Amino acid sequence: MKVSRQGSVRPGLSLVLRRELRWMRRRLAIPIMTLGFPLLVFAVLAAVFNTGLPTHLPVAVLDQDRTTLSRQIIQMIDASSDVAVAERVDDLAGGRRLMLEGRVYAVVMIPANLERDVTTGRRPTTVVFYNNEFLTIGSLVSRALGDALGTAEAGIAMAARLKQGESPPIALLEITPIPVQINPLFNPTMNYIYFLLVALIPTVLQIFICVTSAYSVSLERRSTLGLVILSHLGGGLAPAIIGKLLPYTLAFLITLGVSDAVLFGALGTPFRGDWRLLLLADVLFILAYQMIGALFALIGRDTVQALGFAGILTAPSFGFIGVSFPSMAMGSFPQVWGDLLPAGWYMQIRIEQTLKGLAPVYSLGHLAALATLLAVVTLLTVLRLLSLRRARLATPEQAQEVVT
Amino acid sequence: MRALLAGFCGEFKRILGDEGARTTMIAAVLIYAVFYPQPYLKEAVRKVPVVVVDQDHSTASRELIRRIDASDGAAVIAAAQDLSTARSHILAGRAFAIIVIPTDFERDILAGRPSPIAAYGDAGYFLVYRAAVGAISTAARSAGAEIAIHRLSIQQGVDSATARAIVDPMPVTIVPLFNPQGGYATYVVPTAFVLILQQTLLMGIGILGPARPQTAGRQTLGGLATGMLARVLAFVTLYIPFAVLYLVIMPHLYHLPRLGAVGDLLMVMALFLFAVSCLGLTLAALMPSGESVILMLVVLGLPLFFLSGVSWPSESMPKLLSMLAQCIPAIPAMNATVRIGQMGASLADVSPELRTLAIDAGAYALAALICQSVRDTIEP
Repeated sequence: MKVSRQGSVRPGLSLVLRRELRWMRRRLAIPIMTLGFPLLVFAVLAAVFNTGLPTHLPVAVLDQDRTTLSRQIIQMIDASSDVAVAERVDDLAGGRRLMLEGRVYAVVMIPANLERDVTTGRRPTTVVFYNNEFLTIGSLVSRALGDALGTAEAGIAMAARLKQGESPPIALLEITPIPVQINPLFNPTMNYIYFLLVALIPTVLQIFICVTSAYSVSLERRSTLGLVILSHLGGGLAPAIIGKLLPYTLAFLITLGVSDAVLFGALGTPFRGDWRLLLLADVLFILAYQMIGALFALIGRDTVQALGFAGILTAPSFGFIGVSFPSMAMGSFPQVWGDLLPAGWYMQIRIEQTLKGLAPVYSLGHLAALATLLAVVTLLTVLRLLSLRRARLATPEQAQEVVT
Repeated sequence: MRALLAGFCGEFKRILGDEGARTTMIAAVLIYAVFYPQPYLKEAVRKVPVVVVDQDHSTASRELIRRIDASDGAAVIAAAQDLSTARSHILAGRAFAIIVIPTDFERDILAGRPSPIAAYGDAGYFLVYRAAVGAISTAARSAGAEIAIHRLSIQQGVDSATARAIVDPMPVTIVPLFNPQGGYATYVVPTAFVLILQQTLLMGIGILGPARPQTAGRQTLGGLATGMLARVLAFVTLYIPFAVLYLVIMPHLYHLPRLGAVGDLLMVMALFLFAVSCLGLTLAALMPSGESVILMLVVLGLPLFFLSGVSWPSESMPKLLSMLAQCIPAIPAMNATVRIGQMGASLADVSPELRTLAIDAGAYALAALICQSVRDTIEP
């Protein structure tokens, strides 16, 4: 019907574009999935991490000594901004129970006779038990407790040296014969929230791009003549594909732009790279996932299956693209799989050109890999479209429909 | 009772008869069990590759490098001539930290002066940075302690036991519990598995769609409730074996620690799956189509994982957000199963989570009934 209504207009890109925009307005799911919902998800993620690195994580103390020294040690632990002494327990079983109930992340055991043994040089051992099942939290808590107890010990060692007759400045130097000067690279503020959010935005967005594209193209396929109408309106395969996908490319670019503006503007994430290179990578990344989604729609039996393919590819990719842990530490299957995901290459460029602030030349190889993946998926999509057309023309009654 | 049994069997027939539902609720669950954990299986935050720039070439510097290489956290993979060569290893992603030992390192030690070294770490990976820098600091501290003991006993004539007591008067032992190896899979996989169970079940119910009354005319509330209960029981029955696969069999095959009682895990799972099934029926009644249910859920996996409190402490999230998160059955269920399964907690230890799950189950059962009967009146 649409063909006849538009019969007088010359087929071309603008016709397909206009049809797509009308179409997007009619289907509520599409504007929600391209603009509103992704921004809402990013807002939730930003809220989860908005307080910065966790502080005052609850720990329990088992003080079997109850002397001035043990109370001083507990005070030093509590003074650390990373942890807070939330509970006192009478035995280790009580501490273990609090940990199993999820109410504390560590138990510090100060042994009986600590003060007496320290002064008589018997070297009593203080023990920290921490919950390493929650790896990130465990790492924060164990380091904070190790530092606090280390400071307490340094104070005791200092006092012992003064008693030996050393002068205070010499004693201070003697306490750490090999000081380590630590320089964090690429992350001078040591704020991991920046890294997490910079990585999470595209990881979530690739799911949105791929499933929305799969959904939209598979609806085209569901109506018997959808694809035929598209290619007639476009007057060829290329304008039909471009006109179908371009509105979504722009919509997702806006979504990515808005979230990055908030991330690098309002949230103060350092941006130290080349924005033109990043923008180019943004476009290639969005196009790649649109093409993958389109390909799934053309392969899948129905919309549900197309969405299933898109989900299986994109939803678990956070681990495969080596954001939380470098891919070099993985086995060979996840490494190869990760290399096949456009998001992995895009993520490298994104981190290099924002937080790390590397010279653009370091990112060109990754950009080439991203462009290659896009070219391969585009080629596969075009081949699939051609084979679908051949199959349709081979079926007489459908060929008839096209003619009329 | 007979209606219940008929509904129960009918639901199983529907699941097996609908290709989309069958793929999501059976095939996808089995694929994810193998596919999802792949990147994490080899991962251990140990032996992080580091590069050394040894400008001293002395016995003392080589001894320090040996100590770092022998540590759990770091492994020396290369020696570089200067800092810029070492940096190129980092930029290429081959190493994650650099140790610089300056000239005169040994001379300063022998002269009794502080002899500093420098460490540079790729701070882009939280756990990797912590492991590498921690290993370097610990090695420097323990080498330094030996030097200090040596000086005290040689130069000041203190006996070695007293020297040790002066240098290290209150040693600290730090013991990692529940995941002693610091394995990434142990940390991520059991929690994510609970989330996958929820997401596939919700999508499957969305694809099956809202209940269609078998008989024409208005259904009684009792009939509606019986029909829904039958469906919920069918979903729970289908998913209990998957829960065993995800929480008992797969962790065993992946060599993840599993401490708690299987019976306790299954108790939590039964309540969790009941709540998820009711939530699924509510969504099916509310959303226009199965596809819209999939679209909504497929993007939510990652945010829900970060809301769980396992990877990021719930204490540091906004209160309102962590309270709202409790409405998603997977959130209390992830916490309860990881504490029972990996930490060895009992049902009593997770009673707050069980209470939350029970409230979720009750609320969604009611919501499903209301939404379904409203839907039936709008479009009979």
